[in-house]
Amino acid sequence: MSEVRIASVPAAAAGDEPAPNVLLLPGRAAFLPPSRTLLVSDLHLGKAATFRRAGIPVPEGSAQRDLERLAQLVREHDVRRLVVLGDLFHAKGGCTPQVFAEFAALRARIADTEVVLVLGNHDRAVGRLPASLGIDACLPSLDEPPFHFVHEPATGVAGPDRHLFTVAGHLHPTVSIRSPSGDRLADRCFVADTAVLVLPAFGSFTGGNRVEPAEGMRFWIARDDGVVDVTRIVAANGKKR
Amino acid sequence: MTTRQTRRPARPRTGGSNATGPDAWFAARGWKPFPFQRAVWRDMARSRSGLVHAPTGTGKTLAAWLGALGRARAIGEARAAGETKGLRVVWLTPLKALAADTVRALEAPLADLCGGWLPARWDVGVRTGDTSATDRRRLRTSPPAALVTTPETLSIMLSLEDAHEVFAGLETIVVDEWHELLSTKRGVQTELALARLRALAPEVITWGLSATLANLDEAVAALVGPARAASAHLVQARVPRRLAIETLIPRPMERFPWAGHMGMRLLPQVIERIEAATTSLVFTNTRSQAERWFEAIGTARPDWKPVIALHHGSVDRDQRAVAEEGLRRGRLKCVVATSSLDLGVDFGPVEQVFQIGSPKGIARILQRAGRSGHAPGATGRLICVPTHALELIECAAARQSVAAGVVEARRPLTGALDCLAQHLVTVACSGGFREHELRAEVAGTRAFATLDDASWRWAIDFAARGGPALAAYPNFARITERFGRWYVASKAIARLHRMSIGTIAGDATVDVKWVRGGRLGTVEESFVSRLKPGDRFLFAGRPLALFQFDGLTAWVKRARGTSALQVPRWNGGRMPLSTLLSAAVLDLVQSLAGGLEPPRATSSRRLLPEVKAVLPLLHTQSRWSRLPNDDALLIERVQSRDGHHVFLFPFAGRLVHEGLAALVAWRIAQRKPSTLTMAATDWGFELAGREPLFAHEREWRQVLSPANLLEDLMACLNGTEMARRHFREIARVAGLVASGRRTNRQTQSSAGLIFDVLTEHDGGNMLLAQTRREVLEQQFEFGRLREAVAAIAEKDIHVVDTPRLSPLAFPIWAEQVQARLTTQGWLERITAMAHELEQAAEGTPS
Repeated sequence: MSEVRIASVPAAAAGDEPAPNVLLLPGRAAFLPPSRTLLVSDLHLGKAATFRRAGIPVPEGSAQRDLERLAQLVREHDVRRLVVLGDLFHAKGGCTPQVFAEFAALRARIADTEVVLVLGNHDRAVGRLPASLGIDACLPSLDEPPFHFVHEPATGVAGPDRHLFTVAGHLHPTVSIRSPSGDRLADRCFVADTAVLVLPAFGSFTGGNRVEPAEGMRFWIARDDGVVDVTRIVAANGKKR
Repeated sequence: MTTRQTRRPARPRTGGSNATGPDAWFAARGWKPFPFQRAVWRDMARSRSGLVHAPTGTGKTLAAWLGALGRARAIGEARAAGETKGLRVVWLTPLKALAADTVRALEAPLADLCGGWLPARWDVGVRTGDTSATDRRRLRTSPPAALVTTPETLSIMLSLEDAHEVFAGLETIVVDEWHELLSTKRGVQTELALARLRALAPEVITWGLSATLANLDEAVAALVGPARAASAHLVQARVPRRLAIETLIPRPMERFPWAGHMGMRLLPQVIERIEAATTSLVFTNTRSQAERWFEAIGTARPDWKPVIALHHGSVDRDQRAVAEEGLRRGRLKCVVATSSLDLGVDFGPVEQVFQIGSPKGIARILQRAGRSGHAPGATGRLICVPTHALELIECAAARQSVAAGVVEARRPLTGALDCLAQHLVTVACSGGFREHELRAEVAGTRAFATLDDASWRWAIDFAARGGPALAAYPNFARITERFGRWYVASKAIARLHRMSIGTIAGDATVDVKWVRGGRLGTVEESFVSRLKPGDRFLFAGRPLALFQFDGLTAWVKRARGTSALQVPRWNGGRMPLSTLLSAAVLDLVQSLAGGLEPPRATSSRRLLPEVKAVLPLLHTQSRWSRLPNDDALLIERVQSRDGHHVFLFPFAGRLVHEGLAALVAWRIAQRKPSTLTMAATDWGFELAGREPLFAHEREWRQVLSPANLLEDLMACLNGTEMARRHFREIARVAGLVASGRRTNRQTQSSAGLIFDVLTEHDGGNMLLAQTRREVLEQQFEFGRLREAVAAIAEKDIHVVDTPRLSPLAFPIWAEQVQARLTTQGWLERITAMAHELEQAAEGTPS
């Protein structure tokens, strides 16, 4: 099970983990093997419904597919605990009975897995979630040394506890790479430095924010069907600028 | 618009009510109405609709306005007093920036005409997107007799519940600068609004004012609807306007740089000319260019700083107003401007106009030249200033075309379902509609005259259910049906709809403000987000340093010195060379092919000065490669550090070249998975990739073949980002992307994301189909592309390997990559990119 597929990218460092015991999975999720914990972030369920409510015709379908992918990841990796790093739901107006029912259906399919929600800014705006969703715990953050799980990564280095490695979401990071012959590719990514790992948004109907590369940052392009370290490419692009 | 009429001795007129009417008003100023003005007045008095077509500054405004007043007078006589309260004339202007000047122009004759010739008191109001809530309320409680407004604001007014009462007494609609709206989505929006007004006020007549166009008949049909086109009157002004167009030629001792790029080399000559004239307008093609030229002129002549100004669409409104006022009063020596000054009020004192860079089109330089020389008997002067050697040829071709009296057409759009979907909600907001009635009304426009049942059905379904796929759009409704009428679904939806009415797709912009207070204008977010605090850039004619960017506002301080400043790039300023001008350019180049060799001085004696100046460059071209001609397609191959490039020169205009580039790239990539980048200009296009492209004529012939043209083009659209990019505008108009600053954060989304979701979950969506159709027809000019491909099939193909970029290839290469097409998987691409970068790193000694 080589989750971090380095593919055949030359000179990319092998044995690639943003931190000890964190694996980046294809499908925009991370996995902690010792506790069999699956980490995902920013699903934004009910976003399409929020749009429709405001008179913007966005079709249904992306949320069901995301939930289906999630169920598959849980099954494939024999996940004991699922931690959602915030923004599970998009907005109060989008939390229709149907959206809740779809999530409850997923919950039923992964009944043996514990589900923990680290609250995001969108979740807070949604308010109290019905018990029928079967979420075992809703927490503002979760400390499990050496990890600190939270929705919004603290800005700068002054985290809540510098000894812990922060795993967060919220930013919907994307990165853009290009080659001398003019090819260019921009996509969602994992981004990490020595203290923080930020997950890409898991939901398909979510936008992205381009991360400006800085010294010491590492980037992995994250797709449904793979994850690839592009740190060297980003660095080489930066030098030419 | 002020007018300068030919001065004639005022003839005393006696008798008739006209003694205090338009004739007397003209006479009091020592003017005499032109025959075309009288013709318009006569037609309007007889309730005819029509189009006035006359050059800038010949009195179109007075023709339509006094005609509307005359009509109002006739109607007033037939009615009892007190019956003619309310709005009587709607005056549509394409730019809200023109509204205030238009009001002034309309108010000018009122003082003399009201009370006597006109029994009623007349007032002129204005309503645009900038009008305050208080003023809007006042306009609604006591409407003016005439209202100046824009197409967007008119649509908003039509969406209000009281639209029926507001417009019931409307007598005349005047659409100013109709040629500007004609070939755009805003034109379609205007057609729909006009149809609505005719339904609300059946007696209303419609007049358009237009500059010269090749397709005036279509312009009339779009204005009044095809059914009324036959009875509408096309009034042509036969007013002579003298124009003199010349080109600044680089002095002989200055040889061109081999690549032909001249940048600002002609600046000293431009300064000399500005010096010699009272007032000059310097037009550029882009806002960045305007910033650069303004800065350069100010640096060259610091003593001019108080008397020069900068005017473009992103500069703050107040600063623009100061420039306009300065022009009007003759206080300024020179104003550097973009198309922001193309339209509107004439500035009397302007003596000459410069066109920096390619003239782009014949109508365009006529329009710009028309901004000068408004003193009686004066000549409009336009001076072309090429920034690139090849632009010399474009200038020469443009001058020849103007002399030959040809001008481009502007084709009105048809079948824009995004505009129709928006209009359905607009009408639903204002008291609702019966389907068959609105269908008939919409079918009366030229834009939807051939709308089929399926498309109409789809538009209704789109507004009512999001789309025909019921299950895909639960809990959605913008309009609902009750007792056979469609109404807006809720007050909240109506409010959101009014906020997003409009058809101009803007990029996300941020305000630029001084740290110590005061606004400078707007720049595109993509530019600011790349800057770091302390970075210096040129904007609004000032060197600035970024202090802080907080996501909504770029806070700036003054920067010292003007060296190494960045200049913002705004999207959307990239206008293609018109079809007509491209053809003229090829004609000119071709005419040289024979006369070039041997390069004798005698053979160039009878050449145009522009062509004579560019001869050395063309010699280099023929030495390294060959000169293009009409019998053969020239293909150049060249290798650079960055990869392998191929340049093709079909001379079919930039849009066609973009389409051809996509097509050829797709066909190549079908044979072998690859990633190719493309760039195009009006002269040709480039394909580049990691591996060398075909060396043989036979292979090129296959990928340029006319067989399966449409199918292949449709297929290649999916491989490029073009459809996705074009979707942005459609998404906004159809209400798929919320717009405006005030929108709810929860419903913010990019058009690209919606495009992806629709493609995946509602592939049959008609807006996607419309996007593909518009990319084909508008982006690629499919008809012209097909002709170009057919022509190539008849030609020889010359494949030449050049030692370096040839003079003709260089400008295409310098355009930078505009699109890319790939048939490789993402992993494969990343691998190849990493490989390339490795090689590049090894190759660079450090």
